[in-house]
Amino acid sequence: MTAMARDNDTSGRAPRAPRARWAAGRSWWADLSWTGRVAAVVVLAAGLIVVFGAAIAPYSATDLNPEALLVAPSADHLLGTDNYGRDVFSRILVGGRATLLLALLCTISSMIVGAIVGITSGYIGGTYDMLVMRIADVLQSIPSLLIALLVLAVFGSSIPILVLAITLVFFPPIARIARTAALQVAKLPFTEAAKVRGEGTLSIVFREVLPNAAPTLLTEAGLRFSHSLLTLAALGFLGLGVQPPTPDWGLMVNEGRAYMSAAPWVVLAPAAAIALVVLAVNVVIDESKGGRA
Amino acid sequence: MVRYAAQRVGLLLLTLALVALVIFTITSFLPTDAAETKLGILATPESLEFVRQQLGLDQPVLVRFWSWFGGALRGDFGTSLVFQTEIGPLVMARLANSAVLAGLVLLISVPLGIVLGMWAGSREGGAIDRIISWVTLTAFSFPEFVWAILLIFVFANILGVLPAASIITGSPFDDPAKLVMPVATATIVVLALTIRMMRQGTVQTLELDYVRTARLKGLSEWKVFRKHVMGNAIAPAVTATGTNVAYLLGSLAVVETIFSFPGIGSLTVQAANNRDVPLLAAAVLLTSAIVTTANLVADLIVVGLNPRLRKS
Repeated sequence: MTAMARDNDTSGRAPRAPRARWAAGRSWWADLSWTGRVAAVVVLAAGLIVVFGAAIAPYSATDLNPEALLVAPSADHLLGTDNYGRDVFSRILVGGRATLLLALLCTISSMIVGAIVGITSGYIGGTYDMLVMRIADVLQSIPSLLIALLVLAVFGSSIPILVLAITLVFFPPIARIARTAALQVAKLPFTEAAKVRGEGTLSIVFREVLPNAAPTLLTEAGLRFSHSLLTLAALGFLGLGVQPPTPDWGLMVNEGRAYMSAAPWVVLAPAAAIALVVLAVNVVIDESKGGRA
Repeated sequence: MVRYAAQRVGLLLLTLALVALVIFTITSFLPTDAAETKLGILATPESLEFVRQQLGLDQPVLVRFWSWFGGALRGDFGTSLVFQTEIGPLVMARLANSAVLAGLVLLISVPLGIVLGMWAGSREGGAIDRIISWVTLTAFSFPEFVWAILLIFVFANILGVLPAASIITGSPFDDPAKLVMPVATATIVVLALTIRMMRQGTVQTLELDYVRTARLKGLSEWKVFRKHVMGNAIAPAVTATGTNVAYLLGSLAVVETIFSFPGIGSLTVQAANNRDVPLLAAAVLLTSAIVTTANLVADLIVVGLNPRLRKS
């Protein structure tokens, strides 16, 4: 899946100084429409699931219960049970931590690699820049889901390999953005001033270039998070992501497919969880950039 | 223009060679080589040595890369580990099936995306624009497999009007009903992306000075739109279509797998699950070749429409 197609700026407006928005938290909240606020609350709830999900889950996420197979949602089992009698609500809560943390890990990893590659490339320039951007081009011309499949097939699926595969797929567009930001900042007077002051390249990059590229990179991080979630869900669904019995949301949809007619809740609950978080993240990004969804 | 096109085709071949190198590098990390896989439990040090020589695995890395990529250029991708047949014909047959799906998706989503995107963009901030923006945002926030499952649930399980699986043996057109749900699933997200890109292009064009001038000199809205906006908004639509082909080919992997449709996407997933690396490498290389070619064609059309871009 070439997620890059999903990341075009679709607000359709000239970018309004994004920095002020990300920097000033209070005015950011005040500027959100009511839908944006609902979305922000959903994102916050997802964060709470990551921290407290396992603690508040009423049942075990992995214990089998042959006496309660495919039970419909009720007061005992808020979202019913699956074909092994496992409580779906508990699996959503516990699985939320695995699913969301993994997406976050992938986002952080691709942001770090992308920022380092892009900023150094833009700042150093020359042959290094050309070579690095050429490699980024090449990686971007392979549909991202397919590189991920290739990496997972060769190395086998595990958490570090999933992070590696997603990073390989997502760092090129981030590098491109970071490079553009670095190129712009490199020409500004304060960067020139730092050079004249005799500061080293590394110090200029960290003290002048990085802080100025931060707002753009933060928006990109949000987009990457929702793409990581979608890609990991697709991989989990295809059986190449997180392996059972870990309750991953994408994997849960796949496992429940066979029981769709008899027990739709087994599929609908995790599917709704993925869609809700991705939608909420997308709405928050859209509005933070200055557009209204 | 011809010179520019020739340069771009040369660059395309270079990119493809590098794509092949990336794929080859990833596969070279395999813990077991083709000889071990082939012999399995029959492997003895001597027989391994013999098969490695036979397969050319004792050659230097660059020689092996060249023999793989050179073979691929001639349509010879080697033998699939699982299917035990030649990869070339297998991949081509699957590719033809996928082309039918992809063609139908683009046939629906490109014209519809252009019209809806322009409509939303020309009514920026209005009710229509907001409805379209919300629907498209929701459409691509759901993963394809969720859309597929919802469609199967409604149209196959509840209403029973469409088949839940799209297993075909002959031509995809023998039973068009089987194409409906896979095409619909892939269309949902691609259409949403096209609409949003088109809307953005329209909004940006409408803000330009010459559009304002046209309005100020008293042209009717429709005339302004037809004469000054449409032409300029076509370029982003073409670029968007090129990008969407890449997106579409990735999402076909998921869609074809769900509907058991025998295309290149489901073959890729199958190869990954079976760890059939020669087949997987061939499928990924071929898909990337299509993506790069689609982007090149889109680029050439855009440049053809606007010669000023040729300089850069």
